[in-house]
Amino acid sequence: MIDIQIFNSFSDVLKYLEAKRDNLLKALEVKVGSNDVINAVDGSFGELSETYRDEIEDIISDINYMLKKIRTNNDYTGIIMLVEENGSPNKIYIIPGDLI
Amino acid sequence: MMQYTMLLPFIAIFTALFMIGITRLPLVFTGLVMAAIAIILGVASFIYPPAMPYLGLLIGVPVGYGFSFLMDKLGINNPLKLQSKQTEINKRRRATRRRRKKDRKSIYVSEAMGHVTDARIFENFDEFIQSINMAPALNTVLEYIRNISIINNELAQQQVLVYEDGKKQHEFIQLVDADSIDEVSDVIQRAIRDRVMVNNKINSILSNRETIREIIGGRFMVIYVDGAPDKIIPLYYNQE
Repeated sequence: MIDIQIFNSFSDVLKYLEAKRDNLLKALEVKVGSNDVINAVDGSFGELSETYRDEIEDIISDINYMLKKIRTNNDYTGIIMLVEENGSPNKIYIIPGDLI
Repeated sequence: MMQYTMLLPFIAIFTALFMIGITRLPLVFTGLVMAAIAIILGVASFIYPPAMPYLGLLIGVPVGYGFSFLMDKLGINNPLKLQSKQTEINKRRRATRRRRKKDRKSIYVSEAMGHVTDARIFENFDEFIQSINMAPALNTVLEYIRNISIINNELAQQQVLVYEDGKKQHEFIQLVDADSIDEVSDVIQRAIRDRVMVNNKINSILSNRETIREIIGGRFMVIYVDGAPDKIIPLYYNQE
């Protein structure tokens, strides 16, 4: 699943990624009991795949990897497209100019 | 005879160094040590012709290496090679990196659905409803990219480089030519297509919102699958 986030500057990208990582870390702290899961679509009781923690950990490590790469000394402003694949930041496209 | 005995300690030292190099240090260092031995023995055999036989060492080295490689392939542990914990960790790290690289390439391949893509904790239901209503307008970006596809040359001058510790680490893709513009519009189109499914799910959440609100109460965690909220876990005081 591919998703795209649009930013105006690298510092916004950093903020977004850091916030997402913090949210995920918080989510990992939650202990999910077997009776607690509700399907978001209709409110019925559901099940949660046991691998969800691994997947969250994968995303966190991918975010950390991307954060390590974004250490720019001049903060570029323009259209910055962050491509997320299955929730993990994957690629950044820089499009000069701005959307009015 | 005198010359041979004088040379022996040196040979011994080099052999020992080599053994250490081959078992403990990276391949580049081993190569350097080998090169050093080759040069020294080569020079020595000119000055002391009797040193010639020691050039045999150089043949022994690749043979030994090949033998150790074969042992590895056959699954026999090389007793000389120290299998430290660090080596294991490094191996695992390399594997993860390889996997990541592979994953990164898969962006142009359509894939099976069902990945956890995000997880967030919300303090109340309204906050959650608000968050799913906000989605950036990708169509605008797509249109914009199509419009700028003409001005390639100007864009080539705009470079953004990322530095780490003063060294260039990564160069993000720039929209400098028709190929990268195609690539970006392709990605955006995929994202738009994927978002249709997300929106369908969000619409059914919105139509059931009162039912869901009653069930979950106050604080809760949402797990997103393929970009859309999929599971809601109400949070009680003892869960964090």
